[in-house]
Amino acid sequence: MNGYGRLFVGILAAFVLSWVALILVPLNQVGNLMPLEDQVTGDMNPPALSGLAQRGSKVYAANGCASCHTQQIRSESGGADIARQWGTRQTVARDYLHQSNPNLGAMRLGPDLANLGADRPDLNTNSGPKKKYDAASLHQLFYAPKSVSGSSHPSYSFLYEKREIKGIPSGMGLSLPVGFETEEGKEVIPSEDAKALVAYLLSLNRTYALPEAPVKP
Amino acid sequence: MNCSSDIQFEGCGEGNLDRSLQGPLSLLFLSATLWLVVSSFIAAIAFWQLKFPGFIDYQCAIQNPYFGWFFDLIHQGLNYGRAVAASKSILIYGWLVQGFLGVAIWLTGHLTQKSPCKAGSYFLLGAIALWNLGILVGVVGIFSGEASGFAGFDFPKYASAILFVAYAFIGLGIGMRFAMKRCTKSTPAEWYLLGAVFWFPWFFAVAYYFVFCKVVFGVMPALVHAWYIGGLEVLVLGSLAIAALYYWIPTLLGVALNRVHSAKGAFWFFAFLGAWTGVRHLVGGPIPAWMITSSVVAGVLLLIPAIMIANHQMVPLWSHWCKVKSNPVLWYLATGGISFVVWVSLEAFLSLRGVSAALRFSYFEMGVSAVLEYSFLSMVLFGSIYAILPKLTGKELPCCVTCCSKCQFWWGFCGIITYFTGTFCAGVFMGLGINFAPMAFVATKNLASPFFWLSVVGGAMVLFANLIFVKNVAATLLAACCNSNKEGCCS
Amino acid sequence: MSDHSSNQSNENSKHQSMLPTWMYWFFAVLLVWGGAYLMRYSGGFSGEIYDESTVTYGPVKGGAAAVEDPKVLGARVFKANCAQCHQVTGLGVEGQYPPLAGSEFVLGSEAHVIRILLHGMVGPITVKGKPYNGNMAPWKDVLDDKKISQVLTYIRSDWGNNATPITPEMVAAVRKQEAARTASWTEKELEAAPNQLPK
Repeated sequence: MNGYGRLFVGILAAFVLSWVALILVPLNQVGNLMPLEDQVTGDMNPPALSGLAQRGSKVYAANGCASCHTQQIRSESGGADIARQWGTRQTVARDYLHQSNPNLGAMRLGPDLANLGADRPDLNTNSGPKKKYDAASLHQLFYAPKSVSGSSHPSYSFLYEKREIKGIPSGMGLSLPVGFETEEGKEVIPSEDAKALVAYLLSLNRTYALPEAPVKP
Repeated sequence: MNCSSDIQFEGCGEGNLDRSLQGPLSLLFLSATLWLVVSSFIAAIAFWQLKFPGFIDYQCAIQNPYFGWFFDLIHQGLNYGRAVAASKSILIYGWLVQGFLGVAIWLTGHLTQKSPCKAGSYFLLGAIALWNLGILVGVVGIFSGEASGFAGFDFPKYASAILFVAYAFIGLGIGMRFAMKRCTKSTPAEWYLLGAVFWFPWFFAVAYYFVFCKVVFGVMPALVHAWYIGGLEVLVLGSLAIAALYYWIPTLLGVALNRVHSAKGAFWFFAFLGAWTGVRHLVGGPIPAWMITSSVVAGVLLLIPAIMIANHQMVPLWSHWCKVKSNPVLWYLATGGISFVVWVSLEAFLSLRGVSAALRFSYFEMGVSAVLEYSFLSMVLFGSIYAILPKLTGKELPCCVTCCSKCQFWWGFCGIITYFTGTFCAGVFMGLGINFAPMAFVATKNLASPFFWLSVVGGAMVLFANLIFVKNVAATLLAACCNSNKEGCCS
Repeated sequence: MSDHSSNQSNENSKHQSMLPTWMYWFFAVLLVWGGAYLMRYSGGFSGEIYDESTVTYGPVKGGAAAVEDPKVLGARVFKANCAQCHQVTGLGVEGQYPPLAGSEFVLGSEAHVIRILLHGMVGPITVKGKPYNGNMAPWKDVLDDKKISQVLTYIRSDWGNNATPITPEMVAAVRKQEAARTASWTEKELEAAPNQLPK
């Protein structure tokens, strides 16, 4: 074996060592996780994602939502995520079991969304009464972000269709606040993508208990 | 083994070598440069939307009866999320990977003294065209809403497949030329170059399999993606940049590297540690702690080879400061070489537990990746391209180009420092704000706001420097092209 | 060629040491720090520990499994399988299905109640002084030892009942003892069977 042969073996070894340690072993540790049964309610945790939410996860990825929003709660020693009430416990591998892209994110220009669908205080101010976000408020944020006070969210109005009302209104039209209403005789209808995205966002709820993620009292 | 006899035996002159590479590499460097500017513009549009989210607004556009569809298209394609994904992907695959592949092809020719035959030349041309086609398809894919959602690996499945095929041709060519080389005594530049040429397809293939083939759901794709990005940053792009520095510094200075017999040790440290660094991007994330911790430790220990490499490369530059001052190519290389150590230190610092609690997910990370992408990789690439171009065209750089390259350097250098200062301060304020739970989340952005403007100024300076670079590359290639047909038409 | 000039000068510079002395010290410090950091924050290389500050040397604290409550689990088994006849209230149906609340069979011998569940019952039976005559199916092939123990523990503790819990081991022992039996029990046969759990 000449000098290049030895060099090649070394190059291969450097790659294979890291591949075994950081891909193969993790695959064995977190690649075969199963949902766990909740002993009180009998629910499976994490709950399966609906087909619509699964599609919404792709819309989320394709529109780069992850470039501003994370979906991961760090442990209490790893940041103020829990203190901000973004979550009640650290998120763990099992939480993302059903997602083809976990959309973990790497920037927090917007708040963390790991528990958007749970009973929670307002995400932006982390105060106020606990309540669930509803689909209408999310649609309003995406279609006309300026109508939501204090928001610097970009507009995703291309996910909505504005059309003439022919006959009876469809009933699916967005109800927009004063100053942002659509013209007379028109309504704004969310596209399938918009509905899927909202269904996905409302499905984000990692408040159930898992043994590997103890909740500190 | 005596190498010089081998080279004489081949009997392949340097001029001949450069002539056979001229066509493919001109295409490659020109397209890489164009992608750099495209990426900068898209990044500028994206950045602007951070402050003015409604600046390409659908609401007003829809009322325009003639161009409504056009604004609609722009609004969809250049919406912040998609624009960020597109600019990052173009920067990585269009500019950095492509540019460094060009440098690698050129270095391979000169290190092995093998020039491709005519068919090989056309083959290379085809592969480069295919690579650019892959990027074009990928960008259109991202704009039309098919991004994968994994930052830095955003191109849709089909575009990534095209890139892989195109790379296979280029990588195979480089590998074969090294396999044919008779002399087996190798230099540091060759180790890093060969390493990168092999590592890239391996990392890419594993990432492709896990991200696109949907074999495993859950956090595995995210883990593989982080691992891939680490491999790409350190082992592929970092390696190629280091190879270029190992080649250019002694060549341009005409002196030996400092304490270079420790280079082999540095290389193996670099190779084995570098492959582990990617997972630190997930500090605090939902994967078992040991994976992150071992990656953090590998990232900190990467300082060992980084300091050794800098010691080989930077000490001769320091001791021949006069030569450095007179040659703008060396300005770029010196900045790149120092930035490598700076970047390794910054990443190591950011990944530490206490620090990442505050600074992760903030603007600070944007600043650190700018140090990598611009201050280290791009600077080395600018220097290498300015050094290769005259050899490729067989003529000195036109006078105005040399002059403009100095101008470009100062704009870029001051730009990146301004940008980094801005993002650093903005990141620290924003990060500390987010980490202080009683403060409302929306209020943390106001803390960062003044410094954000500083980074906008820095980014604009970098954009301007990139424009000068495009002009320089185009002018050089145009001058060479005209002169070879008709003497002096471009004067 | 540059690479050759650098090769030659390699030999010229052989007298130089590999690295400056301060680097050796610095690298040694880094390596020691790296080892310590890895030891402290690697969570024992377990796939179940996500918070890297979890201390894993000494007695293991992190990742404690959730405690299973047999009564809660048993309630679910009961609702799914038994409540149709014995009712959620545990009061049964007059004349057909005997009550479980306060039943002397449920609260009595552990061995007997396990036998009833394993093989079922046929024929008339008197519970709390009232006659009942409904058949009970055998459950030995439907529920495993753990589920049987859970549901028994549950019925022995709800509706005011207060008898000792049944463990899966007890069920396994009885199942083994009566392995040959295929028919359901009658009240008479049950009275004849041993009262105590098999050793």
